[in-house]
Amino acid sequence: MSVCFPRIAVTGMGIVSALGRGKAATLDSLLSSRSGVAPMSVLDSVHTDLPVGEVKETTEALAEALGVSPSIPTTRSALLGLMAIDEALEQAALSPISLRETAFVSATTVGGMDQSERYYLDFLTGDERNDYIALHDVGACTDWMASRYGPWGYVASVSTACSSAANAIIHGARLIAAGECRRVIAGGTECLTRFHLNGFNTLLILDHRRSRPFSASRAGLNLGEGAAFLVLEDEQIALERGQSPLAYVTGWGNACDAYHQTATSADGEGPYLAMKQALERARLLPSDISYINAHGTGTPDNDRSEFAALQRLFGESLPPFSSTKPFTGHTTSASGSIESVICLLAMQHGFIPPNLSDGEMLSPSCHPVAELQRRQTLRHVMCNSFGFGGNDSALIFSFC
Amino acid sequence: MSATPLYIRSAAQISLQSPLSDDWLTSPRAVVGDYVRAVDPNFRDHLSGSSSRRMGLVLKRAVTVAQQVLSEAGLDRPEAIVVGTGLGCVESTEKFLEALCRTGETLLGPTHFMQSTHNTIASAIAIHTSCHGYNITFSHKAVSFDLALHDAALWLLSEGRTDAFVGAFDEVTPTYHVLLRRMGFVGRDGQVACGEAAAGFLLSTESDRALCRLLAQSVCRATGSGEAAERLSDFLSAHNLTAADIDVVVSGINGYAPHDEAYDQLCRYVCPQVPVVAYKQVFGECYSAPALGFYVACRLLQHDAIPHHLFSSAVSVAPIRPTHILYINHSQSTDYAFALLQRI
Repeated sequence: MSVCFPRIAVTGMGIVSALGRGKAATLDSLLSSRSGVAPMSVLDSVHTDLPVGEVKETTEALAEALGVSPSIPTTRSALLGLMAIDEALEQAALSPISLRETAFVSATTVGGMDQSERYYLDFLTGDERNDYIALHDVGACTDWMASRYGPWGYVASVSTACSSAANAIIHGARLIAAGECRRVIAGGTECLTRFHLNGFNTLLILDHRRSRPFSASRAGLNLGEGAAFLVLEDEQIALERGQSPLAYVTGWGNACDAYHQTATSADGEGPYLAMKQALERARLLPSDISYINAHGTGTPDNDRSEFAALQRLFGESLPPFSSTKPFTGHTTSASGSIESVICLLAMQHGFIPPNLSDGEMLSPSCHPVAELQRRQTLRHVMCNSFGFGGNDSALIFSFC
Repeated sequence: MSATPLYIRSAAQISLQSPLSDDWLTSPRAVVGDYVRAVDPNFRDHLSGSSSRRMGLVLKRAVTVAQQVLSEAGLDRPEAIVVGTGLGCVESTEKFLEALCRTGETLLGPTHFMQSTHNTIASAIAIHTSCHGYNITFSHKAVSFDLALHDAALWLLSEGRTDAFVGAFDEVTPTYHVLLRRMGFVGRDGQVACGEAAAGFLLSTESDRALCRLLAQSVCRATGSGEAAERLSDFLSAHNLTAADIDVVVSGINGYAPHDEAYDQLCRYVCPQVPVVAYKQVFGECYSAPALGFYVACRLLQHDAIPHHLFSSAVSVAPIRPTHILYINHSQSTDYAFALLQRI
């Protein structure tokens, strides 16, 4: 069915996370096996005993670095997003003002919550913080970023918790595949907030040590923050512009675990279906996949369920896999695009990032990549993102 | 959109009009005041106690609407669940946020946080119907529903599938009503009341007992009314239609002149002679209100006349039995959505 669809080329990417600003800093950290998860230094929370993957600059410093005047009301997620979009557009050689035929699909869940949790009691009592009320919702976060570029042809926001950015990329890929538009900037952004740090904390799924995905001793996740965006183009217009595709989006799948609002099914039905659909869409066999960037949060439930799904689908041909969340923390709504950029860097530079956890794994057959693997040829890479509500997505990037 | 026809096979709503009913056509409830909560059905008639006990209000409404939509279409579950919501699960979010701000970070419980993400709604429908299919939530102010409908249509056509549940859900708590007023979304001069909306549809490639056909649908961003009008003209001509083919426009005008101006200009440029149905005077304004406009359009295509109380002006309109209805919606005079519905 997909033969008549245009090939979807990735022609630009931008990233900011606890590993630093931009692809170069990210690559350097990955190749040095250097984690960005550290004691809390920017977020103003009493839970200082919880390690986090922070972008180690204040919101004010981010605004200044981006040339956003202090008089302009903004939110941390929007600024992080801007940083990643700037880098993606630059790599794709696109002018920020020539996007009339371009779609912008952005994902977040916290939106402007960093300011809302700061000013909420003011919201209730007077008009002084109305600018921030207007920046609270998900659409406002997207609109604020969109207003710095464009005009755009189409703007959309996706919000499906921790799979949000993967679903933004899927929606973008579908727009191009269906011929609705020929270029999409898609990704996600999410800053740390006390709101969701405390939320995850009440669910008892935050580890007080660095997270250890797939390990027998895993005890939860570390939250992180950041943003990443991809420039997706109908291959034909990319080539006409003289842009060499970095890779192609060849597969995507989304399914619902339909089991529980925050817990995952033991057999990983949702993750299994999402990965299976992605393979089918890409017309690939399980044995064609060179590397899987697992969702791998480090919570007891997620990793057990994800590994069960991996075993069901890949059986004996389970490719090398790792979770890069011990590097970045779990960047929630941004994780799908942040980890997509990590996959694309791995393909470009021929390496497999390690899982950064050692010791005994959750089962004797579970062997995530323990050490950095270099000189690898990665032709097809799968990137998993699973969220609350059992919202499970898988992407496949190919270079061939 | 491709040549494969799409249909709306069933629809249901909970709003400030009588729930799960079409009494608004003949005997609409009067809208009194500037903020009116939805009239809820007796949820115990629709949901088992065990499944609804832990659900917030917006979840109860969404699951009830979805159940009604599926049962009218004779289905146990859809193949996909595609939801739009401007603000998500406001009640749960507020409870957690207010506790955080008032009592600090040490006395919080997980219940409200668990239901605070926007996709809790689509997830609750999936869990209730055991639907493992495609599941996504769009959240973009007043075009949240339109983005969901657009994505669902693309999904059906590109995946070669048969049906998708599409819905839009927004609850407006008393607190959020105050915030919406502060940010100037509601409560402005001449504006209709702030309401609440829960509306769902079964979008299908099958026409069996369908309410109407969805000929085309589009979402775009435009700068200025001229560009928006151009997009609307292109939209119509792409489907070989002209203004003369449109019997009625279902418009999102809400009585606040600067907001309505964008609609007036579109109509003036593209279809100046066509009567306008103003659903928000009956259903109120909120981010998911456009889904109720779409609902109105679907229902009007099953009836032989359009009641007078739905028209935007008191000017007497000759009885209309619509064949084609053009639905138009905009958010902040920036994001525009159009849909073309046809009588079967």
